[in-house]
Amino acid sequence: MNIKKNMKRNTNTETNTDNTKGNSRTIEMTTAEKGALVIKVVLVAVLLLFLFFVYRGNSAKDVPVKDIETALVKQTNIEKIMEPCGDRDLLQFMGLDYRDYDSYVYYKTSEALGVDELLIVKVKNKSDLTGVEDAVDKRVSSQITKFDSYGPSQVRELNNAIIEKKGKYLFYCTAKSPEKYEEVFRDAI
Amino acid sequence: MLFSSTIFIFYFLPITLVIYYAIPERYLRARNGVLLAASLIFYSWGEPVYVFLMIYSAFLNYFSALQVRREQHEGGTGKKNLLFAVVMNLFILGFFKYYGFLMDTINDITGANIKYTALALPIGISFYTFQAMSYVIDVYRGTVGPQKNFFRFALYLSLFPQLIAGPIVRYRDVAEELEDRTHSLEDFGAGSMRFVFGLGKKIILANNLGALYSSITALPDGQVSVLTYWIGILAYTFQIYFDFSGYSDMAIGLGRMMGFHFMENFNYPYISKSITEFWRRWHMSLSSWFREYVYIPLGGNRVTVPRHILNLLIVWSLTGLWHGANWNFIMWGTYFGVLLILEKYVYGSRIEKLPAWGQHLYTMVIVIISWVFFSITDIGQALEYLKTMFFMGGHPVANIKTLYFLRTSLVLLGASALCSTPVVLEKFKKLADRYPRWSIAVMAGVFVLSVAYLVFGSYNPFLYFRF
Repeated sequence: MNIKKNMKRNTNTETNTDNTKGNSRTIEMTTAEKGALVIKVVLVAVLLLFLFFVYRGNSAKDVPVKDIETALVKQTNIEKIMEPCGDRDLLQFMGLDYRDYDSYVYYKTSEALGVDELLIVKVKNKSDLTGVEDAVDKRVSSQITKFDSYGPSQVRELNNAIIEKKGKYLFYCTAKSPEKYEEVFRDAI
Repeated sequence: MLFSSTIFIFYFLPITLVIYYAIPERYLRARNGVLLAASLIFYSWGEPVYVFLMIYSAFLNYFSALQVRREQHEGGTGKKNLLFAVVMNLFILGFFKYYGFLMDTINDITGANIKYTALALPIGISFYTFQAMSYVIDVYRGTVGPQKNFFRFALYLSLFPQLIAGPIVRYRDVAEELEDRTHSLEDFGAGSMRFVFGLGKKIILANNLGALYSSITALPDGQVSVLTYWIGILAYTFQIYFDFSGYSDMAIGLGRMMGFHFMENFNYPYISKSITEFWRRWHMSLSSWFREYVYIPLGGNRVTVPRHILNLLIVWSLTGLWHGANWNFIMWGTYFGVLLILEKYVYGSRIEKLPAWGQHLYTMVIVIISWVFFSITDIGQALEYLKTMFFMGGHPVANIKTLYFLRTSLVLLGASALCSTPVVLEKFKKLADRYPRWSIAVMAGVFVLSVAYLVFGSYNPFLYFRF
């Protein structure tokens, strides 16, 4: 009987000790958890802020158009398909005056029945992009009209043309696989 | 910065190695510091803004792993903190890699034409995010202890040899080497040779194959033929292998030069006799990542047959999606998922009964077809390409262009086929054992030729850069 009582007493004591330890641990855990929670909130806030600024700034680097052209030549076969064009061509085919913009790169096929062309324009102000986009839209539409009745593969290419704005840049490409040029453009800026 | 660039080969790497080895071996912390600084410079070369994202990711995962362990130490499961880390990592990856894809899909389905800004993809984000997640999951599982030193963990995540295109190195595989590693002349020599081999694969083979494939895909409709398209996709098949495995070789070699031993990423995949075997040999670090962290937690093959089929389809569509945010990649992944299911449950045993050449042919035809979906992002165009390959495009079997491409690229394609088998390396090893000086001359030749191509050639793409 005595032994049993003693055992019971011991068990109680152990339980109490455990509870005491448990309570103090609970208090410690709460403090640690609070600290961790604060860090987590800060981490989420920092990430959201970072993403906001990256998205707002469009993450486009201030890359000279010449560098993008070098990347295009290095990573694609653009030189085999198209030829570099100058200020007059830009005005003649795209209706854009080079003096209105920071810089540009314009490649166009030399084939009479070809529609492949690539244009990258870097504008001085972001608001100028709308005008460039309108000019490109107009160019694509007029090309579609021109080839509509006799050039199904050309029309397919034109319908597949990529026009993309990023930061102060506008990218336009009509080609068999315009995505590969777009990819280089995206990587470059 | 690319390994296959003159800036890296003639400036960045020599400077890093000189500073690294100028520090006595007993000061490993200082050497690690040099490596960390070099890795951050390497990354910021192309991504001055995104280097902050990389540092953020390092801190997020370092902190999360410590929290997982703290929670477990206090009697919890650690699940809450694990979930936090996984959600945050997937959110970052999703935002940069899949946001544009999601918006395009919504616009296509609803016709809403919601305007959005396409963001540049931070280089190597898929690789380092997967590495970071594997670390936190391993800490949660108790496979590895959390790293208490933030700089050491940041070094693991940003280590420049494997930063941009893998292999996806698991923390537990390099944990010891981060804290204590030995450097030997033998390791340095073997690493240098591996690097030069990789450089040769990339510059001499992959770039030339890429130029061939590009010329063929740029052909106007009137000049296309069935055989020309087969030559084109064959060139791409070899290009993607030498491009990616060459980069992996360079990464493994560079690691070894600095005392790290990364896992192998390729084991001659084009000698496989089945698709199952192909995936045991191709991009092994990614396959094992998906097996360990997705397939097995889903139940693996220890489930009912329908559930197993579902598991395989989930894993393989995710593998496809990992490669790129586009439907063609999902299709590519699912294509392999379906074929693996068919091999497992329908005709696998029959394939095994075929003669060896039949098994190779079966595997290669399936693999070559898969690269059509991989290389052409527009599914309509990919199907057009396939139709032509299988005489359904209304193009002639061959024409004058076919003869031109055959005549100009037969040697290149033949050499590529030979180099994608173990034969060449085995012969080289025998040569190296017998005539060490000759082997050094061969390596020097490969290096000089690669550099010549780099300096004088203008075509130097890298396919896995965008992943």
